[in-house]
Amino acid sequence: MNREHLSAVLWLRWRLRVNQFRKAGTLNAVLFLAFAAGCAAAAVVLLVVGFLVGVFALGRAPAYAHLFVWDGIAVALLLGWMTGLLSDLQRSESLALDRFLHLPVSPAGAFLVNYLGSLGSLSLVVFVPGMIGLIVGTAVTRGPLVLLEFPLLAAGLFALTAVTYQFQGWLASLMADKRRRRTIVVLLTGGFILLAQAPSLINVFRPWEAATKPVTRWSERTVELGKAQTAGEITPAEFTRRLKEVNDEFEAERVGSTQRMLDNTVRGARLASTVLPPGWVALGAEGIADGRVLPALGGTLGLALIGTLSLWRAYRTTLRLYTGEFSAVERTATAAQTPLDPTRVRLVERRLPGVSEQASAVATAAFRALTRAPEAKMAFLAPVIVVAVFGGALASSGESPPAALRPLLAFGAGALVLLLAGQQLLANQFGYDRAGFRAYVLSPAPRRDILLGKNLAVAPLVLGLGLVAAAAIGAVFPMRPDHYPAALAQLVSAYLILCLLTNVLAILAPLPLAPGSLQPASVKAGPVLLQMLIMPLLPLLTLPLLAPYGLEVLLDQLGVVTGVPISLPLSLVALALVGLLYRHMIRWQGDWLTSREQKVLEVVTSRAE
Amino acid sequence: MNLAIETRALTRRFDDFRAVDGIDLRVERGTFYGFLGPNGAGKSTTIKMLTGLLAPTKGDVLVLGRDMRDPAQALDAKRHVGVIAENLSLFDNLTAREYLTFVGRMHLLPRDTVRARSEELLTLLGLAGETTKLTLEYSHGMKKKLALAAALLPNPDLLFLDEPFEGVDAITSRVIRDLLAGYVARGSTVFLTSHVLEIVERLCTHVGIIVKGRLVEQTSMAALRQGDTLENRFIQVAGAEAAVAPTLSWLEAAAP
Repeated sequence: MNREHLSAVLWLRWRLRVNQFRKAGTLNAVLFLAFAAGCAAAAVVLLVVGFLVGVFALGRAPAYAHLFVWDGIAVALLLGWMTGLLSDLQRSESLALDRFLHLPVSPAGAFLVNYLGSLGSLSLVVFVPGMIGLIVGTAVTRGPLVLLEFPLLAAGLFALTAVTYQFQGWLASLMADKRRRRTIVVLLTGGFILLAQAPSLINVFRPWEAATKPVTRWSERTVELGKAQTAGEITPAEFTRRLKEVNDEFEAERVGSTQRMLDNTVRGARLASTVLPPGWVALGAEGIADGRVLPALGGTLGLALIGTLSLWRAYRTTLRLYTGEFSAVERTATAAQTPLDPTRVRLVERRLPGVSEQASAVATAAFRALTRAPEAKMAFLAPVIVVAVFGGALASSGESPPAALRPLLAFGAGALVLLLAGQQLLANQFGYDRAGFRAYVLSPAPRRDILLGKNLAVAPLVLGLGLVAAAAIGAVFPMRPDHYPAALAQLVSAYLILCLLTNVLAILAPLPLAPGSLQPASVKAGPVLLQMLIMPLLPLLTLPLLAPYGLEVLLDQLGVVTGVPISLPLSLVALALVGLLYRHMIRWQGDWLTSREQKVLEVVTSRAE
Repeated sequence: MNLAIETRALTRRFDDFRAVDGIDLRVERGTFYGFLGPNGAGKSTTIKMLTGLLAPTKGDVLVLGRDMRDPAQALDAKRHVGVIAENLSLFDNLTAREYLTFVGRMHLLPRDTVRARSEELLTLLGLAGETTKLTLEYSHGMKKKLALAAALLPNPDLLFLDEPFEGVDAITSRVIRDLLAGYVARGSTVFLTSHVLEIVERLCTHVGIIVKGRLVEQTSMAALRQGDTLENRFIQVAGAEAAVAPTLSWLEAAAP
């Protein structure tokens, strides 16, 4: 690989990016330019802020503060870096080595250029100037020894990017099998979402609750003293003396507790930074702030070694991948030898009661496909986490909500799940079909039946999960027996409304998804904005479904009717009305889909194929 | 005349570019019609308009006597038509049997019929062993075969085949050719595009040639060939004689 090759590859990367944005339209190009300008501005601002923090804050802070700050930066950088990595995993590699290994370039040269090209990531562009500013600023206050952090930081970034590159190569070898590729993408994304949600989950369990106990104790004792004085059990002078004792005791306990917490945190951070290589930069920075250079030198050496080894291994893996040492797992067709049981009706052959054959065909086939689609599993992660976080917080608070609030909580939990999961699976329901949508366009089925079938296919997953969430709330905070079926009726109504709303979006603003990926292939701002504007309407549209319960509570409060199940029959009437509305609207939406199906097809296939 | 396909001034524009420019196709029932043209001539765009995958900018399309611009008539036409589109219409997450079951049910075929025909088609096309594979994992050739099976399953009166032999092995290609010949012999119609002129020459009874969006020839195979090969006649009619003459002097010079 010579300079000509390098400039040709860099030019190629540049053209690919330019053409990608040109294809996506003017609005996208404008948005991208604004985003790029924002990133550049953020980089400059972070450079200045980093410098100022270094001069006026970190430069004068104790050594452990350096540990905390650099550990914090490492965590933030890792999160940003991993987001970029996930994004890359979900799209096919634009400059995969096999695309230019037939050209007169050495594999090592091609590999190196590809690696260097991968460094131009958003997180590095934003973070590195801030880190440089911080080092220079700290050096201004604490002296030139701090400049040793530069090679340490460079080694840290080298190790991070090289390990990532090795990781990507390893994943690529695993993902030679297409089915496994999607599972890996789902697992990684799921793991990342859980990691990002870790603070919320930790918040649910509140491990620092113990630290607030002195406050509770102080508060209880103060109240006791006040009561004793009011009851005349102690004199005002005695009250003042004992109050001072309580306050002094509390203050001593508070200071001790804070110090203990700080010591524990420093010890924990130091241990984590020693064990985990990304923390070596922070450990070195703390050492330098303490006047010790060995941790920084050791960290630099260790990180550089890790980076070199990783890059070497990544190169080896890449070569093995492209020389065919990894290949898709051949699934032996064992079932071929087993004759099909002619009496067994398979899922995709089942006729659903009350709907046409064609709607049943769409519903069962789409459901079958959904249960295998990684994106469907992904769609459930967000609602499950949200319900776990909110439900957990509610349950762990130890406070039981009032009886009147419980049916609302149950409905709210179910509706939240419908909104989150439904938006993922229904609002772009044809986008998930990709080339399969062509089968619908070519089919002789009325489009009303296609929409009905698609809505039915998602129901067991989305509505089912919503009902589970509502039932879980109902189990933790028991309600009056008639409120359970009322919540069921309300949620079914809400699901029908959700379907009508998302059908509109699926027809009006479809988004193309790349094959085997969860990411839009090329997104135009218009459909995304439309999705963002229309989905918030769902809570407003489902609000009237709570009117029956509101009426029940009102009549109860006024003392007109007490303890009579008013919500249940009225919710059933509302369900019947929403059912009629759905029946009427789905016919109209079917006609609308007929008139727009070619446009939808163009979006969901052409740009994704 | 009993026409399977008829278009009048069929036009499709993409912005300022006329992909298909006012073509008048006339395909009689019971014919094997080869629709030929150089790359980018407008073949696939035409098939998309004929099958309802793309709306024409202008002009009329009649398929089996039904007006494809009328939604109700278009649905009725689709009951009698099988299609292999340029980009296939498969679902990534279904197996071949599941996909064929879906297609059969959309055509309201009885369950036993779908099962029996699926089994026959999958065996004939060499896909019977791939019961657990999702179409996502299929090679391009296997996907083409499955698309053909799906197109044939409803036993249609008219088949639209866009490059059906592309990526298909020689043995299956022979099976498909025999199958299509028998299909036309019983009185059904095939509308086929292919760049493999030998196959077109062997199978087709009628030919249409489209160049830069315009239909420049539409006649019977015998009338077009006039004793010459289809390849030569195609190059002449497409006006591509100049393009096939080698002009790269540096490539013809002595090897370095």
